[in-house]
Amino acid sequence: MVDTNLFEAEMAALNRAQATVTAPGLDASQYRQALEDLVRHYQRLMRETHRLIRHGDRSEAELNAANTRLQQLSAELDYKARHDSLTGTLNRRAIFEKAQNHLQHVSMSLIILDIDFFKEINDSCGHPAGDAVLKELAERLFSILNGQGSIGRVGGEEFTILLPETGLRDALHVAEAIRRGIADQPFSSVPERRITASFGVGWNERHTDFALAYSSTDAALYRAKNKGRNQVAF
Amino acid sequence: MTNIFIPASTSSPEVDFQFDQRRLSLKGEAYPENAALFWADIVAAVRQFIQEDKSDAPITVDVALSYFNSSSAKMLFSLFDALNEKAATGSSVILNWFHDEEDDTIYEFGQELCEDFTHLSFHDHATQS
Repeated sequence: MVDTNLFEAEMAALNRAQATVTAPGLDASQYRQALEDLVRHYQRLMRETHRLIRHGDRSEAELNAANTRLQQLSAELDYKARHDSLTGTLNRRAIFEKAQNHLQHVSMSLIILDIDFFKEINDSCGHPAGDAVLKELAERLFSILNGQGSIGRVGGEEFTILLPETGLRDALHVAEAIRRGIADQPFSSVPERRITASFGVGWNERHTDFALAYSSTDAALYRAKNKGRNQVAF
Repeated sequence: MTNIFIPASTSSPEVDFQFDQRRLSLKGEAYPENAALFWADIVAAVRQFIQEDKSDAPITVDVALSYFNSSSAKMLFSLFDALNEKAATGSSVILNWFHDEEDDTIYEFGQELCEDFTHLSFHDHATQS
């Protein structure tokens, strides 16, 4: 094992100074020489310490900046992992997780909506127009809900809305307001077409299994479809 | 004087000291677990080379360290101190200091070396990543 340390030169200088201190009967010139030696090393040590501290401070500032950037990126990544990039709503996994979490603690109403004849919009107007409809529809959902509940895109043209601690009657009102908000106003990307959606609504007590809650609301949605679309069923 | 070549590891730089060519090069990152141990032999070899060297032909030192920790910086001072003394008494020593154009930390450390080791012929090289 090689005995090396960072302060080898300083250690040697210190040892020489200590030897001078303890040596008997030295003359003035020898003390002066020892002092000059010590001063030289002391100056060097100060200069190096100064440089090292500045270097350390700069590295630390850089690391802090990198860490801040990393946290921002991590937050962005987390957001992207949980949201649908087209509509800005939660994605399927995130909305389902949230629904399960709600149901563990409170009762919850569930709305599932599906745009009527969406395939025709895509086929006749093109996918960019279809995408624009989805975006505009999501904007209307956000606007009508005004912060209430959570919105998720669970499939191509299918959205789920969670309304925790909301009764069936209120949830039906919300669904109806959304239905009108979609059907009564043309969409700017396809103004010549009337866009409508069908809705399933269900209320679930606390601890209801989410898969069960979802499938019963989904069944309501298909009743709305079968009864002629552009309507709310529960 | 035997040349030294130490390949880079994840925490230590490539050391390529071609004493016969009078060309010394450090490249990579330097944060070895025991910096004193890593650098001690390297610094000692340079000191020995300088002591035994009879030529006064210039010595070129290329340093391209993208990161070094404080212990390594302390050891680099010893290295440049030895080279500075050589430059003060014999051969000219050219120090090519390479750093990423956006890396102010390495750039400024180089500027300080230039201030402190006045006999070295210091050349700053900003490189694009």
